[in-house]
Amino acid sequence: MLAAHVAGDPYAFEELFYRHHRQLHRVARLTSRSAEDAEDALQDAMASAHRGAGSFRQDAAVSSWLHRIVVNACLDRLRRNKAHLTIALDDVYPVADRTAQVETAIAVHRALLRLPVEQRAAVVAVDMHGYSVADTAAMLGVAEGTVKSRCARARARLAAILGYLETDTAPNRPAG
Amino acid sequence: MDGVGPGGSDGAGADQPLTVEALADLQAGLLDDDTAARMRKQVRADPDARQTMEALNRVRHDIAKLGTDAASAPDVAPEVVDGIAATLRAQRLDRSRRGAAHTLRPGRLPRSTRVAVAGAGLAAAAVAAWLGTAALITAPAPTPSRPTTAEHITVSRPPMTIPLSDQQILALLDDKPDFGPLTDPQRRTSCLAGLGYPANARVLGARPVQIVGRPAVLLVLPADTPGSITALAVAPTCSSVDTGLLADRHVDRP
Repeated sequence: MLAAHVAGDPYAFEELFYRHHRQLHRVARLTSRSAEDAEDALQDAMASAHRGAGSFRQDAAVSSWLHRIVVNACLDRLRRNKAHLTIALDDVYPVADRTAQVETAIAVHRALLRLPVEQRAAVVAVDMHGYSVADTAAMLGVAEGTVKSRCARARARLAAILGYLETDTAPNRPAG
Repeated sequence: MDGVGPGGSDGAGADQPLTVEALADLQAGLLDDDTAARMRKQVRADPDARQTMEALNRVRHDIAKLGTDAASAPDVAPEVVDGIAATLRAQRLDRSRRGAAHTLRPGRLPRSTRVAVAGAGLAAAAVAAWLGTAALITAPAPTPSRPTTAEHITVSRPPMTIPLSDQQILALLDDKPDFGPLTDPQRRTSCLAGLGYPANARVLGARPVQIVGRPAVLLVLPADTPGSITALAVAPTCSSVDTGLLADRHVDRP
């Protein structure tokens, strides 16, 4: 589809966007401070991808390339707007009923949205998209130790929210 | 904070409590080597701590899985999808109109005007489709093109090409890269991401250039095939959001 776009098919990129838009929007939301920021970042990212498709390396997956551009656009925004106060969301996101197979994914998604955006962005970049700590730090404009610390706090909090620390005999209480 | 276990039996005085946070620090690589080694030893001797580590690993696994799970991605509001699609359509029409695919940098659309742009894009697409259809219906039989076609009249700007020969581009591989305005690694990383390269991609050569009077930075990167390289001329403001790609060229190594 991307090759068709580069070759001049005027509708190919739009089709590519439609095909991936739900996942791209989700990752934008997870790495943005607000739904509005996510929409703006997604639009910027798609416009950028549309213009830069000619330089796309064919040995990379199109989906990964699009996701990376979205993540980068969102992290750029976070870096530029560091001064904003961080507000952890109590909730959440309207999610329609789905099959049992995706319940875990939905629970993880909702749990991520309860984290402060800086922690959320760090684990999404590192754990979801495989960025190195160094690359994530560079994109966010923070020290590598800060990224590690945010990831650690995020994972501990997620483990608690998701109930992974509970045992039958003696549940582990997460830190507040 | 609670500990998840009493710790190992050796050197109890030096051991730190195996809290969830401490174990998350261990997992994230935040601890110095000695502390991490001591804590790993504690964890091996503590079933509760091992269980907590498994929980933290499960979190990482689940986050990774979420990234590839298309089925669970929530639906997106239609107006959001339509707005972005309209922006892409408007960008495409604009590019077609100007006939220089890589020379344009449409500005960002403020949120307040997105709906208007979406409408304008749709209207433009509809008009273009109507005009195209009308032209096809009423078009006369094909005739040989002549030098006075609209194509010749409207092409007035010089082509955007890299102002270096293949040999000059290859020679950049032997020189220290001069990134010019992209010397800042953070900006360069962002630019490479916008071009579809990983942040740790090795830039083989670089130098500032001018293309039709516009400043640019030429980046030489590995091509998709061994034995060849790709030269990309990008705007000095290149970023992941907008690379400002002006021209590109594929060069085979001798």
